[in-house]
Amino acid sequence: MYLETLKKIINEEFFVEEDKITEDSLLKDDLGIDSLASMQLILDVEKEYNIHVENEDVMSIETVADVIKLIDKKVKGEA
Amino acid sequence: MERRVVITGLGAVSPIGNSVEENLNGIKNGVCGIAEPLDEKLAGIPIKFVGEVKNLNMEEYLEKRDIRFSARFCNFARIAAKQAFADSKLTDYDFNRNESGVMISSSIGGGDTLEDSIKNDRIGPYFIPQSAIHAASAMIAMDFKIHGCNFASVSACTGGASAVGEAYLKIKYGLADVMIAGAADSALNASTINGFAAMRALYNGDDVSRASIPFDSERKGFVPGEGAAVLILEDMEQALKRGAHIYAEVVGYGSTCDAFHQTAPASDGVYSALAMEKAIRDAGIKITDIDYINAHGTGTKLNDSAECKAIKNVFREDYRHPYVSSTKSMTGHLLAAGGAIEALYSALSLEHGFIPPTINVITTDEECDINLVKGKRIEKDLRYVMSNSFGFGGQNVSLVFRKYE
Repeated sequence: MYLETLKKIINEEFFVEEDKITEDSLLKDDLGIDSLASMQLILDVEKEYNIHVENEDVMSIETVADVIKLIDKKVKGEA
Repeated sequence: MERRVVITGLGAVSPIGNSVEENLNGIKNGVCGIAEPLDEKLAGIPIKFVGEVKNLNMEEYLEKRDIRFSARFCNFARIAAKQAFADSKLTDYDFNRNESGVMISSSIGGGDTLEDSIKNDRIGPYFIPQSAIHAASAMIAMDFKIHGCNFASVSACTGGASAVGEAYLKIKYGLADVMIAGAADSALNASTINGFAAMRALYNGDDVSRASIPFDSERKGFVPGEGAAVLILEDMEQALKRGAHIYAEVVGYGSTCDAFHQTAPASDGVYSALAMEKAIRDAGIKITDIDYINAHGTGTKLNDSAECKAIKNVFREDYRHPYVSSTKSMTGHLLAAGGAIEALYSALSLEHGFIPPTINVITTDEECDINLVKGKRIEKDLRYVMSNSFGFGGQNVSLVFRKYE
């Protein structure tokens, strides 16, 4: 569920074709989402799910799966 | 040892065309790029006409993502730089990138980004790097892997001319081999236009043929425009060694400040005259060697009369010797990018042997009895061309270009 939404966000924001996006995709190397772009992605995710992501969590994201895990954790209200 | 500095590449995006060729045809044939705005964002601005960049397909030059996350002025600058760099053929030459630099000016920078971000409640991580004025220089350095000096000369509407002048000095005194110099502005947004309108600086009438009429007795203000121009400046020895095409030589640069008022030029034109004198002195020529002056000529009452006084101060009894025209009659006022595109037009005038016209002027103001080229271009072999740029804040910059022989 999160993956489909993320695919849509990444496609709309960064023009990456949805079928190129998988859970294993590396943000930078596979999707061209560098450090600055990943901050934009997290901002979009925060708005989409009405969550707040801490600065240190942003720094540790490398794959689409990492973003999904982060959303899941925040949506479930885990610390 | 002083080195000679030549122009080996040109790139331009302006209200009269999105390539150097289109701009050349435009200034030769008196094409007017001023019209009612096409951009819907400009509905409701207090003026009827602007100099908008039209039909530019940015995706021919830039990735979609780059276009989205860069301000419009920055995209213009990168496109003009890509044209200029390709034109210079430096792409195929192993020049010293550590000893080469980028200097791209802007007057307003990402003012549109600022306005759009606030309006759309979208202040993201790109907001600062996107709206800052240095962004264009930084992005262009990345595009061509240029690792030497990198900054934006910021001095209102003299910015583009300053960039060309300062870049010329870098090469002349051996501090750089190649400089990518120019300026970009896209200030066609409601806040900036309202700001200029509040200063009563803009033409707000409804006759497009009377909108940008520098030196005309009925001139009522300037028409804001947008665009970018980039020049590749290069050490002449290197240019000759690699067999580069040379458009013209940069031989003089003069820079002064009125130190008088936040916006108005000093009416006596003393320091704008001094900028011209400095540039002529730097070129090591006589005043009567100047064949043509591409004037700042904005079409405001104050600018044009002060500029004419300054020309008279410099040329004295020979003040009708140099031909004068204002290409802003065709492009509108591109702010900092104006100085850059007028440097480019000066180089084209030298290379192709013509003086671009000041279009739409009917009656030259009595105060402006300079040798104004009106209506149509004059075909003439030119040796020295001077380009003037003045800015809010009293900045005055003059550049002198020589035909490459």
